[in-house]
Amino acid sequence: MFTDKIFSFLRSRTVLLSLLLLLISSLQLTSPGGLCAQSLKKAVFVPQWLPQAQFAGYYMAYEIGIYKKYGIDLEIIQCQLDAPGPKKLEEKKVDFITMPLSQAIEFRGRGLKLINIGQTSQRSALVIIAKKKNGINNIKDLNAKRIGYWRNDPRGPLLEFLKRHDINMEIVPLNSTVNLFLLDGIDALVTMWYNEYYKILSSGIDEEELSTFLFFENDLNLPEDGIYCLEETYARDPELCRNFVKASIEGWIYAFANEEQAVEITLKYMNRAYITANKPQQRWMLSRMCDIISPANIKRSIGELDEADYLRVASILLEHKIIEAIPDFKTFYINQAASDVKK
Amino acid sequence: MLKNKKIAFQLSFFILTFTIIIFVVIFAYDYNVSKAFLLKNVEISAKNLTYSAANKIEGFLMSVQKIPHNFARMLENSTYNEEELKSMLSTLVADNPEIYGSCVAFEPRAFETDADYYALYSSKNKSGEVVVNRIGGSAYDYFFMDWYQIPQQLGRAVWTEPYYDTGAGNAVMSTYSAPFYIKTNDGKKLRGVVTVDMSLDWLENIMASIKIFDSGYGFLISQFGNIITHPQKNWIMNESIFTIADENKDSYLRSLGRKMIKGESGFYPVTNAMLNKDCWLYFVPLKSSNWSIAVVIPSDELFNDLNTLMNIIIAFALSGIFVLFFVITYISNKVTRPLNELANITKIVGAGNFDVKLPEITSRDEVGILNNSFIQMQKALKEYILNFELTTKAKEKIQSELKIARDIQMGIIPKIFPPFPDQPDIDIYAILQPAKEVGGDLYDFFFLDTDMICVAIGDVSDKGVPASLFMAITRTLLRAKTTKNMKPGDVLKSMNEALCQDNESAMFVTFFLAMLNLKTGVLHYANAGHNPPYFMRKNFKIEEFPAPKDMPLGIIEREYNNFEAKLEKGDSIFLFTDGVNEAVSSDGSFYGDKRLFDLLVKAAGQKPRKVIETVSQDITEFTRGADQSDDITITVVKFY
Repeated sequence: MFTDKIFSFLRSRTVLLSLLLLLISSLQLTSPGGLCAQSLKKAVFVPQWLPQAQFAGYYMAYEIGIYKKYGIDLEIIQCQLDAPGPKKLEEKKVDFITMPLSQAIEFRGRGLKLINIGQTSQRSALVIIAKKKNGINNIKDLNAKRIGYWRNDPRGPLLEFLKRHDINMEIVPLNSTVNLFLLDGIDALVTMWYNEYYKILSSGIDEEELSTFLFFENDLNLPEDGIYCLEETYARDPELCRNFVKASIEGWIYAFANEEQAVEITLKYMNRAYITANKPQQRWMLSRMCDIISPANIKRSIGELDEADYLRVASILLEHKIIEAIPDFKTFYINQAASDVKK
Repeated sequence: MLKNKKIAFQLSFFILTFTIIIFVVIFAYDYNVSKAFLLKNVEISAKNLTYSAANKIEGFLMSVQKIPHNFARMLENSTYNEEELKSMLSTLVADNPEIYGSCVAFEPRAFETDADYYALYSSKNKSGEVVVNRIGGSAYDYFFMDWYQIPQQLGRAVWTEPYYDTGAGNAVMSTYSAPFYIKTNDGKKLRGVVTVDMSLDWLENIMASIKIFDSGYGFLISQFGNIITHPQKNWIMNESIFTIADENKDSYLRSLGRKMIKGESGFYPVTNAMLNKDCWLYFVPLKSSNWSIAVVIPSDELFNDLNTLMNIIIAFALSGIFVLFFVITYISNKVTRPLNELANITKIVGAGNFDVKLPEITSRDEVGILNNSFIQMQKALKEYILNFELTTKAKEKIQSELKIARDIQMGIIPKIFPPFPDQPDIDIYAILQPAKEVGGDLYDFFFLDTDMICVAIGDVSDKGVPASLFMAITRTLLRAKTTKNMKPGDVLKSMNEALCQDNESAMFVTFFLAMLNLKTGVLHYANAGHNPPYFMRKNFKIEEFPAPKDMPLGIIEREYNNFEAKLEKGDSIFLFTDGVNEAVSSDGSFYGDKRLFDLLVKAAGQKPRKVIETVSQDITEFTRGADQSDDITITVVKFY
């Protein structure tokens, strides 16, 4: 049922997205169009995880030449789990990375001078999934149960969820598979709606057999993925940063309007990385990314970080002592591209 | 509509329609029964094939499972140092070619009291030598790997979900992990996990050996539905049976997938998701690993022989129906051709040509019989028409003669009215309507002298020609025997004598004779068995003649009485035969004396002609078209 709603919702927005894409393209004719004639600026980008439709917009922008149109000779390198993006950014091996907002604030809090130049995610994709057969039908049923969470992900949102609902759960760190959940080694799993939820469905468990608690539906909308670079990168070439974000957003809009093409391109990247890949899962993920990046009920421009969202996430991190102080929003978020898109 | 079609068409239509219906029913039944038999046999074959492959795989997996189990028991029962562990792992990998690698991994500080990670992993290098490496650390945190974490959390040995291992030569691998424990005061505590890694390449060979028809195949899915082996290589470890179902929007395939991962077995039809065409799926579980093995049987190939056979049968049937159509048409035409000829000739015969020649049909079937009947009918008709013509001619001759006889009969009775226009003291009117062409009634009147008029009426006992002849004789006798000064009784006596002589036909005649003296009004009369006439007095009284009737004339010689009555001027007498009062209506009732009497009361005072017309009209109304049963004769005489 929920899936049907999302699909119909997505269809209704496809036309709007296409119109937006046209608008952005027309803008290009007037302003940075001249960049094409100039020499391309080199830049390196690494997404925060292995190739999947979570990054379809970037792959699409790269494949159909949007970055070049914006004067960027981009190199997308594959994420290495043992050398995550922030580390590469710190080592200046890459120019742009993506990562969840809470993690970025945490890194900023630790002193890494990174800044958010575009907030793609407007809605939290976090969800707690449990099996009804294990007696979990509502949030309170989670109490005293075991919940798996991705050990490399920020713990803040989960801790806040448990605190708000006054629930105690045994947290079991997991690496990357949902197998322990499928084998009932844990009762619940906090994970991504666009990824593992479908993985669980495609392991033979029906939607009706699952209880799902979406964070954004439970008054805990904590935006996730955003585009980051170092402060010094921005200071050195703000136009490059702005163009990277604008090209990426254009890539996303194109991907949402050309779903099958975007899925095919994503699969190409996945096959190149020797990781499990199939169309239905990536199609699902791309549709969910559309819900996250361009939710119908949020009127902000794509890529804009709302200060209230920022403060909500930062406050939670502070509350759970993950950071010691909330970094200043104005120094954390510098996005010229979003305002261009807004125009 | 069919009623208007020719017999040949109707025969072809009905026979072919029913033949086709019968064929289709038999064909459908045969096809379905054969299909069910085939399916049953294929199910048994598929079952045997699948179980055979499953047993092979099971046997192999179980033999592999024993290795880490035994190793774990050894580690639980004895203490080994690093060298001993390395040696044991090397031997294990070296001695078991099916094992790609083996690992023993300990809980933090369980082997080395100062090390969070302690794990040894032995495998073969590219040159085939067995090497043992220590693994684990922050870069490879094995505590969160499925092969370690799942048996750790579940407390039992498991086959991990197969994975695609680039390090092991791009092979699909699966790891069997068995936990081992150390005894504590509280019971036991996990000490570590022993694993063996196994390439699943050999499974490919077993599964590839499953061949069913041309395109049938076997495949294997994991406990979560992931494709482990499949002829379509890009599905392996990329797709699950559920993503295939999703891609094809095939919820039925998803439900079958759920049965498979739940460890069920069965034989089900599936649509084109698995083979781009309809097929059947037989699957059984692999108990040791919770995997499921399935064979896909293409429906078209499964039913290929049956379909070929059925196509041949259809071809034969269609040919048969085609031939049958021509045979029916030929036979129908053979039967209907002479019938058509007969029909055409019958039209000619119907038009009156009885000499037309009928077709020569030598067969003795129904058509031959019909033709013979037509020939007989033609002959009979011819004879009948000939006889009919002769009879008609004879009848016409008789009719003509009868007409002459009628004219003669009518010629002998007075027919001119008024008969005596010069006699103002008498008015007479009379009618005679024979029931047949000629009748037996008569009336007559004539003057005996200037003052005496004689009036008579009679009715011969029969009708038709004999009666008319008898009537003619009677009338002749009347004229011959009546002379002046004779009394009516004498006249009757004389006539009777003449009639009785040589009356072999025993006919008789009722007769009434009256003689009226016009000067005196005295009426003398005699009655030989005739209906008594009525007096119609001028005062409108109707009176029946009082005298009793004597015997009719022609029976026996005898005397006849004379009677006398007196007529006043203005009186009339009404004479009639029994054809009047015994006239029969269409419902069989008689006219009757009373009706006549009443009518005469109304008609009294009228002139004779008017009286007769009134009575005659009333009789016509009474009989209302019924055939006239007897001659009707009325005579009215009015005295002035």
